[in-house]
Amino acid sequence: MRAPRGDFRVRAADDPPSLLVVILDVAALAWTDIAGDKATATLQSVIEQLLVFLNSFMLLHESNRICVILASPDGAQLVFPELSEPGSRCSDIDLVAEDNALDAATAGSGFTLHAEQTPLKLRDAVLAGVKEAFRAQEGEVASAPAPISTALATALCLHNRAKSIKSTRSSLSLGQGNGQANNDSGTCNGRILMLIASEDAPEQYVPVMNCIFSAQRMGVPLDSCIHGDKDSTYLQQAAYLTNGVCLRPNEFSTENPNVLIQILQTVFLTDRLNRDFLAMPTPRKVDFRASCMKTRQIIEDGYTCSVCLSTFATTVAKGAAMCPICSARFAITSRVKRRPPRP
Amino acid sequence: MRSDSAPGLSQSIFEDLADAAAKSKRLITRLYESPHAVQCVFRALPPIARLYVARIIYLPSNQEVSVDSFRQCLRRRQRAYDRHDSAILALKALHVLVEVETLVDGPGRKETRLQLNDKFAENLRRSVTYGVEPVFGGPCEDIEMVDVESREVVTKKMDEFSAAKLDRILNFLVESNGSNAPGGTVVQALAQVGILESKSIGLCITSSGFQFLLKDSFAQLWVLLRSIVNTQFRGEELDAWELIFKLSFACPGKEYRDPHLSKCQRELMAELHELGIVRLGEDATFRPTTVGVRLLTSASRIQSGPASTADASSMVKIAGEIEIFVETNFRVYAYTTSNFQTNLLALFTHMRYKLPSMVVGHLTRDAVRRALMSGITGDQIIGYLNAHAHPRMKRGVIPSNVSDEIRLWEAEQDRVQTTPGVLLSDFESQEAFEKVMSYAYDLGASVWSDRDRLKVIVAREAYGSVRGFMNSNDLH
Repeated sequence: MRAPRGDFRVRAADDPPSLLVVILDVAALAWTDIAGDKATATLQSVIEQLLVFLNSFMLLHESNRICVILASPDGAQLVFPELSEPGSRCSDIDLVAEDNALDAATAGSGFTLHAEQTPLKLRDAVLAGVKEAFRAQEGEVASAPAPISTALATALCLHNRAKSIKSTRSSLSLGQGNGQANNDSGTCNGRILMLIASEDAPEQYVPVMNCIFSAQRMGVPLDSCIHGDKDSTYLQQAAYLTNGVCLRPNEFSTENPNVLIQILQTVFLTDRLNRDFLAMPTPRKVDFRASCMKTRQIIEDGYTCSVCLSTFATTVAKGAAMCPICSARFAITSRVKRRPPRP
Repeated sequence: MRSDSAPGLSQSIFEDLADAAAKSKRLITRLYESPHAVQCVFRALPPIARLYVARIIYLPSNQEVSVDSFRQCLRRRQRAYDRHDSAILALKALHVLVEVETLVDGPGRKETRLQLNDKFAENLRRSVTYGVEPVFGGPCEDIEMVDVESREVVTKKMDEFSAAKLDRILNFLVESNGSNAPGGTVVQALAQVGILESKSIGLCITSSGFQFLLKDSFAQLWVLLRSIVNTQFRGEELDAWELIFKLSFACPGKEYRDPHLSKCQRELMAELHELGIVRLGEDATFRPTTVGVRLLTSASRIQSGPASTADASSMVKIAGEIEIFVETNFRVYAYTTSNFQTNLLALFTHMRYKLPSMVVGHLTRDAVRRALMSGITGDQIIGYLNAHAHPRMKRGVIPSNVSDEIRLWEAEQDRVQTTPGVLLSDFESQEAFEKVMSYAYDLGASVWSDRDRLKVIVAREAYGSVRGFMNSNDLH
């Protein structure tokens, strides 16, 4: 009798390729806050480990796809896949080529497999992008934290692209009106991973929350790995609402930067399907507090506009008040007494 | 559909490797010397097994881990445990994880723990840290094919090339008039796995050959390739597999030239050309086709049902599309332009008309019985029709009266049993007939008899003794 052995044939449905969009925070100020004068070295080591992780991700499945977005105070920039230079974007041909490149990167066409050069191209693109971003920040005196919302929105657009291509393609290959396309488009196996150093920016509250809700609707998990010392309310809520994972590794420090790879390989390599089988780290506590729409401060108790559901730390004024968000008018006669907090 | 009876038709390379590993550990260690083999083996592992390897690959100094530590990471559901078990089994069978005895908690207490295969781990780490040389020394043309159009043309040409090659092999099988035979040792390979059988009229397709025809293209190519390697390259399998492992990391459509190929690998290259996996060019250059690059990973995944065609990115249709309508009156309309698909359909349908993009036929009793007699089963026919049913067909399956009728026709075959026999007739008298009759009856050899016309049929194997009885008693 033959010795028992594993079944090497995996059903294709159990092993779908996935799309991973990585958002890397390259705000110089934030990294300096974390690592002091060793900021560049720390970021360097983070990027190196991230690249090893991305290579492992490509090795997992021959059709896995990667996009990398750098979030710097100037905005978000897609550095991989490489598109044509922004300056030369005038002709139509370039736009078509760019479209094709994006299609290939997100949905994978018939022949986009991982060529051997892909890891090298990825490394060059990321390193060049980071260098460029740092040079742009040099002149600025007080650089702001990176706008996560811009990067998130870009990432969601990429996912949406992948999804729509996939559904049109399946409806093309199966004839129209089959209903299959609709069933299938729900299972776009995508994720977004954010490596964030900046702290939450209060003015970003509304756009970030909007992104989170769209991600939730699209079924895209938002994973995040926080390098700073403070927990991020936004990213915790993002992970909670989209079934993602939000980690702030305690072990991560400037003295011992190499633990990141183990965390990436153990936690963030797990795709959506396998999260059904492998246990993921659970959040210790999620901070659900909302921000005031006017002062942008995080509040525990507040007032809500009954029309647009915006939250405010204080009522606007006595008498005929107007909601600053939706311009609804309220006749507030007296300040509502707050219920004393429960013991 | 019936499960594959012939083991040669369903084995994957990794099962071969596991078998080889069970026999000799040295072989598998030698295999893991090649980083490309390591990457291919890694990709062929079950999804969870891959994640397990990724989790422990960067543990310091190849630390050993216990199975329980993996088990603790699972969610508490039966399906998770099942996957875990099959993953660990696969990892052990391929010697990716090896068992080591370690001391725990003082002397005397030993525990079996798992450790990554040294070579495997080293090469896997090399492949994610830019440590691996490009296969075949990299493509010859450094210049990127800048404009997308010329690249598309090349890709399209290569796809057409591999489609033509496979089409030729499959057509050779269904036409079976011996003309237009594929080159190389493909025919030998077909005979070796039992798809073709030499009969008096020449090579004939067997029942397992029909199973082969109904498989998807990657699986078909895989069966052929495996058979070629196992027969023509016996003893040099490792060399041959290495070439195939390397191919799956090449760039489809690009031109390569590798002076370091061994003799056996160069011979295999010629066979791969006949299968449409690479296209040989002048001056010892070759271009891998898309099919060739995808072969290894696609052959190790099971495409299940028509739903998987939705994932067009992972399936390259080679053998031509066909979409079939079957009406309740047994009429068959098939939309196809592929010669092979038409021929395949003609094996069990009576063809009426052939139009440029469509063929019309009838599922008749005669046509289906002809197919049944040559070894196709009814379930295979129904399975084929269902698998290629036109999406507009109701519920995506053929009408139940048709499938029932096909099954009835199949059952009809079992109604008649044949026993070879010899007819004895023209007896001189009723008495002689009775004596022979009773003798044959006692032997249990009387198959049929007619007292009125004095005829009896005895079984062929008993004919000798009946003849002897008749001679000795002088009965005629």
